[in-house]
Amino acid sequence: MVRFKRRYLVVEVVPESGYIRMNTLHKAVLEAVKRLHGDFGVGAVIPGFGVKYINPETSLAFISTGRGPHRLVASALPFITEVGGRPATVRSLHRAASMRHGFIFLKKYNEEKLKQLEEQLPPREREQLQKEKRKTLGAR
Amino acid sequence: MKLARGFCDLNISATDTDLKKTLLKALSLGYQTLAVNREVTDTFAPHQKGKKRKKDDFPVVLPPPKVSLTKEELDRHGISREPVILTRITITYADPGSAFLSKFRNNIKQYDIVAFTPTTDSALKQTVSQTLVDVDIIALGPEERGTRFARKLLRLAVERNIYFELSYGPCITNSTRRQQTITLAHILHHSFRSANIIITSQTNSVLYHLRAREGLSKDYLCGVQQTPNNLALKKLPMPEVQDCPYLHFLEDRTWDLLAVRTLAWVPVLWTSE
Repeated sequence: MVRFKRRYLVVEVVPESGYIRMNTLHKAVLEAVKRLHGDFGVGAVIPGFGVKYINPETSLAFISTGRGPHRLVASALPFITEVGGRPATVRSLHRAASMRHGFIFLKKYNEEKLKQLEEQLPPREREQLQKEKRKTLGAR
Repeated sequence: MKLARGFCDLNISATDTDLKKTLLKALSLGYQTLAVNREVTDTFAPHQKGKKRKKDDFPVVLPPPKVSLTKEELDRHGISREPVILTRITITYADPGSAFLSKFRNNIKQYDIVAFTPTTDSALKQTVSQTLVDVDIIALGPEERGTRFARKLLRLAVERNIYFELSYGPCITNSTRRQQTITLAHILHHSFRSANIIITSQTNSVLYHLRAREGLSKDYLCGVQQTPNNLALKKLPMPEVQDCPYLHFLEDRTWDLLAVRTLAWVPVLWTSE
């Protein structure tokens, strides 16, 4: 029996302005794959390809592809200059074998980002933020 | 019973007016076994079930075309080997409850090769599991149904020795068809490791007919990997092609090449040129 294995690419899509939608990202990635790898690339990538998750606030997205063709997608991502008609860049952060592992990475990544942002805040605001965190998440 | 010999192309679309010309051209390109394809489409859709079908709603299934090539015609085109001309019918249908198959069963059985193009999941299920007509080939059309095929059904088809077809003819001119064919090749490879696949031309223009020895390029187009010791060709159900000498020849060799298990290109590998 042959199992269809997938890979989930965790990417950060940074548009110049506004928010990115799933279908526009989907189209932009396929266009990039077509530009770099031609009809073969698009044909190979389509089974199992999709944008599974997008967070407009953090600009993070999950792109799922089949295992094997995921290399074609990963190699095409840096060449995306436009998403939905607006200038944007796409940065790969992680490659996961399942959505669950992708979300585990995402959680760690977001916590680290939050820590970095906290350190940049003035002390008073930092204290306030930590108070809010304790209130929301409970004591750790 | 006609036995296949040499290079095969099991899907030559030709109208009745230029059939001979197309066949002679294909034979002069190196093919020895050809199957002339006749297409029949049952346009009755499942959502029309409530309506009663009139006699005229059924498509007509004509008897197989008869082609005879004289020795002079063969000599004029430089064809030295005796050709084997088979007849093939490709039935496209969507409604599994349609009485079309039982109505025209006798006409369909007159053809050497029977191929189906089911356009819905239920039609695919019926194609694989029905016993009215022996199905040899399933020609899936991704442009009609998208890329989602029930893998269970595809595997069941392989167990029943039904073959899947990939056509290169439409890929030559149309970019969208090219992408769709490559997608289909990948889906078939994921489903059952491309066990039962044949590559055919499906072209009615002599311009786009590849030479028989250009078979390798067709395989790189599909990009499906082959393992040396798993040749599905030995298990061909069609009596016409089972005794093809090239099939037995392959069993002894081991090699490593990016290719699809096919009927058409197999002899290419063993040509010493």
